[in-house]
Amino acid sequence: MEIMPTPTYTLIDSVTLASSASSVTFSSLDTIAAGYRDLVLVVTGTASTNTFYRFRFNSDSTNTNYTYVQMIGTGTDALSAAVNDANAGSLTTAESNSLIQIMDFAQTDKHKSYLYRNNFTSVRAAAGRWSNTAAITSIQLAINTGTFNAGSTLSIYGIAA
Amino acid sequence: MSLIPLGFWAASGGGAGAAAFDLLETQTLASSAASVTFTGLDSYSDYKHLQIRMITASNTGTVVYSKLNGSASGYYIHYLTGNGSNVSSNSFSSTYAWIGHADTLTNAFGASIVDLLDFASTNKTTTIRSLTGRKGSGSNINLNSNLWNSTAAITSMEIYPNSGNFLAGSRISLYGWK
Repeated sequence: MEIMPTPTYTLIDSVTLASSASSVTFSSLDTIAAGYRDLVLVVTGTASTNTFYRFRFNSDSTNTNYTYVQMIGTGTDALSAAVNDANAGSLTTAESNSLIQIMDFAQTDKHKSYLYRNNFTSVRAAAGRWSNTAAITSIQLAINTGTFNAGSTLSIYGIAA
Repeated sequence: MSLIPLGFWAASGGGAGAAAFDLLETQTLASSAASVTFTGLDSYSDYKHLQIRMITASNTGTVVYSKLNGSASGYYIHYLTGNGSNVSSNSFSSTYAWIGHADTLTNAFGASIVDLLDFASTNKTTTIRSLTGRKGSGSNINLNSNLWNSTAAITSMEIYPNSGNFLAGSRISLYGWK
């Protein structure tokens, strides 16, 4: 169905950390992201140690409810793995970044699929799934070890469909 | 924390005013379908690039193909893929462009983001690139690049699974990028 062009890819929220934090949460997505179909998370910054962070959709911290497949280029090797975990990207003590696409985040007829690209000491692309049909109303990015350093920025955008 | 919504272009420092990324059309399937087609793309020639964002399930298909302007010739595919065990790359000529993945596991959908670069140009061949994957009935993450060896402006795009149908709930959206 053809519709009138609608400007989209809209910044919903952005946090630049004033002090270190072990997690960042975007909540009330059913309100602040209402009307959008996809979400894009952009993470740029550093961590207190070389580490990774996980999704916590709707506070679900059971890692095996999430699954992903990745391919990584380390500079010397190309690797792939499929893992039942909520990995959302890696972060190092040097500047790293990740761009995460969460598709149909509020639709209740499907599990939630996501894609991301992550640059750290390696380059990574990944596809994952949260095995739950619930609408995502909150997203926490939780560091596995250490903290996001002050100055790190986490932003969330909405894309209509 | 709340912010006043900003257009992405403005948010990324690209300049004030005009939006850069517009939703043009979307098709969400209420029932299964063998394909989805966007036509009349020449009406979007004020956009430089197009993007397809899609989330697709199928009864039997695991990858998603596309034909431009109804053509079944002149496609060349390069891909880099990870299947959970190893990473590989290949290239081949084709009768279609390979743009995405579908999933056959109940409630699981493949996700694909596809860029059609300079789609209205008549002085260059067409490039379609995609980031696509699925983690359900199979494990795949791909970076694909397709050449369509034609300088014709793209006026239509047919999107279909490699076998079977798209299932209800599959959603394919078209965006324009200025």
